[in-house]
Amino acid sequence: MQPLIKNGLLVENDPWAVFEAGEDGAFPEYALLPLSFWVSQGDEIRDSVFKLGAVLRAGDEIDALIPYLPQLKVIAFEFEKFADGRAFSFARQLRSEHAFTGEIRAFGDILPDQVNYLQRSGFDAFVLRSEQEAETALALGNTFSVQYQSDAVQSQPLFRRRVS
Amino acid sequence: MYVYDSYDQQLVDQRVAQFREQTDRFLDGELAPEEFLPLRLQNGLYIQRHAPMLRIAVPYGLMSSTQLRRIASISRDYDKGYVHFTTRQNIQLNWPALEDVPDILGELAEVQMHAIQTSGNCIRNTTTDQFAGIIADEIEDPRPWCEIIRQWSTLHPEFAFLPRKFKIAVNAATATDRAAIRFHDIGLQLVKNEEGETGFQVFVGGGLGRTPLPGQEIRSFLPTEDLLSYLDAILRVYNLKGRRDNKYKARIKILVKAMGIDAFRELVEAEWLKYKDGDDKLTSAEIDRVKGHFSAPAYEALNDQADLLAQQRFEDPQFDKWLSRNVEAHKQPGYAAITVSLKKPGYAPGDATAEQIDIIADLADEYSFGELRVSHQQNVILSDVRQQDLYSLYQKLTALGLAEPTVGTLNDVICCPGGDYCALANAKSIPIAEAVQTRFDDLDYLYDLGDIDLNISGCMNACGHHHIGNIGILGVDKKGEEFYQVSLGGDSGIQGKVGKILGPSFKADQIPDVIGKVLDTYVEQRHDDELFLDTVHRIGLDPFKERVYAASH
Repeated sequence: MQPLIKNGLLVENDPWAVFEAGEDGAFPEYALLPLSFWVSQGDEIRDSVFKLGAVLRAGDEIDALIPYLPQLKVIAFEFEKFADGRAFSFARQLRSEHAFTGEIRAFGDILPDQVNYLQRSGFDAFVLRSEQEAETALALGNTFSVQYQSDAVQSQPLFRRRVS
Repeated sequence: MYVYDSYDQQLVDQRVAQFREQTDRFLDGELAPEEFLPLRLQNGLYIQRHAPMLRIAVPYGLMSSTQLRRIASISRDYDKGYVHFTTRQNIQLNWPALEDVPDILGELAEVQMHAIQTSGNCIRNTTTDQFAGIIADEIEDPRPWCEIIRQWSTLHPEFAFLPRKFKIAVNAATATDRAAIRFHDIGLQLVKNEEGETGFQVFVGGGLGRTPLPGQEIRSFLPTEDLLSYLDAILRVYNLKGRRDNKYKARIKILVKAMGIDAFRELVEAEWLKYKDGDDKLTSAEIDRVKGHFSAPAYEALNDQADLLAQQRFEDPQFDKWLSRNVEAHKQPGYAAITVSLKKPGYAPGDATAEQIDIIADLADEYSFGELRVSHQQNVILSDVRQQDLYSLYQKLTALGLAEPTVGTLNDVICCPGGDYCALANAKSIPIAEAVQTRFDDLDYLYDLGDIDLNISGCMNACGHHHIGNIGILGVDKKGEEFYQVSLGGDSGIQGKVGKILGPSFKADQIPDVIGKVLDTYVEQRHDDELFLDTVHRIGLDPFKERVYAASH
């Protein structure tokens, strides 16, 4: 099982798993369901008592998911290539524009060195590729104590906080 | 110039520590080469033909003598004792060892310098006019805006993995554009609106490379306080919509062209409206704080020295030439800006030795308030020299080989490092520059030709900006042999034009003759004081083609 970091801590026994819904549309609780599922059946499961999430892959856009944000506990972005930075902007939009307060998770091809920027863009959960990389990611957590820009965590840019 | 406070210093120090740790992990084999790649690139480190190449940021080309001296000592201690000044106002070391790079960055941080985002698919160094702040023809000093953009773009968490690199340039002059803003991903032109308020005219989607395109206007007037939220909006749309399937189609210019400027504008404006009145709106306190760093130096109350200079020119014809070509008028009476030429024939354009740059730093202290600028034409500027000191400064520069009186002429060649150094190059570029400079070394002839930009790139990436040279030369590879394509009529200025290719390419040894024929055609066809560029646009390419490709008898 790949290590999960949430809010700066390793988390054991994470219940969430990507689930491709079967032909009968059945799915378990804690399923991360693909965007296509939410688009086609999101309205029908509005009253589900299950805790549910969504998984977005390279090429998916968040627009179609917006109506279902109140139902989503987790939105997980799968990185096919670590150099594909689109999810950074999606996460920022989800937090700053759509006020999404659930978990935003990164998994797939992500580097420990990206965790800080991902966090600042709005991600709060990270599935690293190995135990060692998870340790590195945790150790890198305090690399920067200063930042110039506003971001999903700190809405005030440095110029509004600067004390001279 | 901008001086770091504890926040700026802390960030740069922490960046050094971060890169040291990353380099250790790479050397220990924990980080794969392809994973280390974007990390080192975002610290300016390329792996090149012979060795790594480290590109050091010179924000908008401005530096202090202390910083320049540190560059000299770094080049001595960690490299071969010389550096290269680039077309984007930065400085490159061509031979550092990978293991030493963290120490080099540490030494840079001590003098408030860094290599952050000088390469990689992120927001690069913001550039501007090398005469910013000292010319009369200026809406206002653009450098505070460049610094505000520098801080916003530095370690921006959302835009570190863009589809491709991203370059921003700012111009404040009204009649000239030395920053070539129309050929940047975003070009910002300071303007005044009808109410007399200052703002930015914003261009987007310009660039060189494989598909040279001038930027298009996306907004005619952006209030200055909205600068950062608007930049965020453009970058966010580009980050989400730009192509990632093909690196040659990944620049914002391709997206803007494919969508059309109107559709692109709609997306940007919609995104901007969501954030425009939020916390990213610049405060007047911040604008004033940054502007405070760029107040005028302690000029003396002097008069222009027309009589003295006329006398000196009369007595020394060489000084007369230097004064005509290498000295720029200053808005402060009694002062002038001078260009230290790094274009001595026989030396790679834009290169300088550690000894030379140490002395340039001394001259900056002695003559120009300890500040220098790097120009997009790969020269160094001393921006605040008393006119009464010009002659003694000229004599010192002459002794160093730094007073080549050819600024703005054919011999002030812009040239990338090319196949001699660069792993991306298809062909050598420096020997071409040298061959042209050697062939056309007659100053009277060069002066008679007047202003001509000759730009040379060793490959399609166009670091030598060949597309926007009045004469552009591009190195191409044909079955392992180096050939050179010549274009005419490019213009980096306000008009922003891409040159047109003359015809089939040439071998290296043909280039001086080809340039000679192009110049002959110009001299025959020009009207009285017509510039080369204007003649090319008036008569078109045909007369040049006929001359160059005529069968030799």
